[in-house]
Amino acid sequence: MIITINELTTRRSVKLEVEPGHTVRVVVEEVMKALKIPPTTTYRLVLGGKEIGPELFDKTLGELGISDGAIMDLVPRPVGGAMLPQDKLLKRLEREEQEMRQQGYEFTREEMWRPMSFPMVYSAGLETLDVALRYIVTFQARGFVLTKKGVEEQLTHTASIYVLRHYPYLDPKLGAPMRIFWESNIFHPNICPGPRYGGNGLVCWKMIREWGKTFSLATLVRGLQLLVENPNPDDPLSKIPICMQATAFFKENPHLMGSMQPSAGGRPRVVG
Amino acid sequence: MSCGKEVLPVYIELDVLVNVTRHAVEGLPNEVIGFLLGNACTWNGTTYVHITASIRGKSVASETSVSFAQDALAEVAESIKRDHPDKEIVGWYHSHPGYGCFLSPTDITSHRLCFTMPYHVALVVDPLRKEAAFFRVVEGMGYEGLKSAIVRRRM
Amino acid sequence: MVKVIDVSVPEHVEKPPPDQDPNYEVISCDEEGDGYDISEIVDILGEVESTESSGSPQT
Repeated sequence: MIITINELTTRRSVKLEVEPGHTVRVVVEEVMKALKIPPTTTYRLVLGGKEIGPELFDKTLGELGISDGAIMDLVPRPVGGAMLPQDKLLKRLEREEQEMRQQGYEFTREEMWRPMSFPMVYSAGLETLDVALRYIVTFQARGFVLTKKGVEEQLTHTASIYVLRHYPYLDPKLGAPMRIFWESNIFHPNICPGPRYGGNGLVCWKMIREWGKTFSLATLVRGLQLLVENPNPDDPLSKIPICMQATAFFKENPHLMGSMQPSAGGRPRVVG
Repeated sequence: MSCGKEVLPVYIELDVLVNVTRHAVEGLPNEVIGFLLGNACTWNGTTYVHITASIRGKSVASETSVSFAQDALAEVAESIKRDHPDKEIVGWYHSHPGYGCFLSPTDITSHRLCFTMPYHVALVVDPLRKEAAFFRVVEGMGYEGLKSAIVRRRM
Repeated sequence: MVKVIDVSVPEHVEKPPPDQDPNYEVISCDEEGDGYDISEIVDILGEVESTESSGSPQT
């Protein structure tokens, strides 16, 4: 049977001799080859007001009711992606660094501009993400550490914030604009101590996925302060023993899970 | 007013730019996407595009991207056949609300895969910064701004 | 095997561009390829919206 496919970005038209048993895929491939368009899945076929996308490409023409004399359109499907160019991202981060200084957060900064592999929070294995910069931030919050003496208060914390290339938009793979790893010691159901303390620094923090375009590094660090002071024992890092220990501890000592305001200071003391 | 004797790569009719801007404004705070229709013509050995219409895509905007919704392309194809049978898709437009006119890496890849002629254009509109600009992709992963003119048919 | 019988490639129309066509007038020209300031368009659209709908236009 004979079918015609019109390519809508150039009004070129391809006439083909096909059989009902041919798949959509081989037809589209022949058309792309004839039109010298590199084969990709960025096109859709349209017949009678219905779209035939890549998920249907393995169906045969017969199965889709395409018969002799059919005329179809080949339409591209572009996707617009949100991402700041490098210079605009750096300008934005400059403003956010100012804000962090004003809030009294100390930090160091390192430009990376390369893919890096990170352990995943919810599953085994590594994920590779496009990293722009890495900040190592130190901030105050009323948290705890586990020592030989028991559970002690810990007021100073250090974390690495890996700002991803898509910042302030969400990295499409990760669904968040950054990765956070703890560097200091901590005793917390949702945070694992850093590598210098025998852990991997993983942080389980749902808020990172509710990221809004108006957030900034300073609001992120404030969020980390609140996380330290308000552990969530109902959603712990269950595969990490020290986090499970902390979960049990906080369930038994709910009075130690603070109010939502980070505290100003005070001396560390042994609590349990 | 004339733009000098050189043929510019792209000419857009004023009401098309207005329609594209209206789409971008109505979509706020999200991005929107659509196609530019018209014809690729030649004059004095130069090929240029004359944009005479636009088609809105039913847009789906996520936190990182904007694309055509399911079956939106079918509607586009039917629209073109019914209302603009003599025109071709000469490019696409999308908006960058608040972050300026440029082509992101995703935009560049998209343009390269979807618009294979050197005269095909990308229009980016920022309805918050109130800017609009034309681009095309060049060798490697690059792109460049295009000279253009906004025109109107005399009554 | 799928067989391509014909590929029709229409010629581009040979015609003067709008800025050399007396049927057209040029409203604005971007000679540097830097883009346009479309404040006038956005603002006019905002006004139209506020007269047509009961709500106030988004800024």
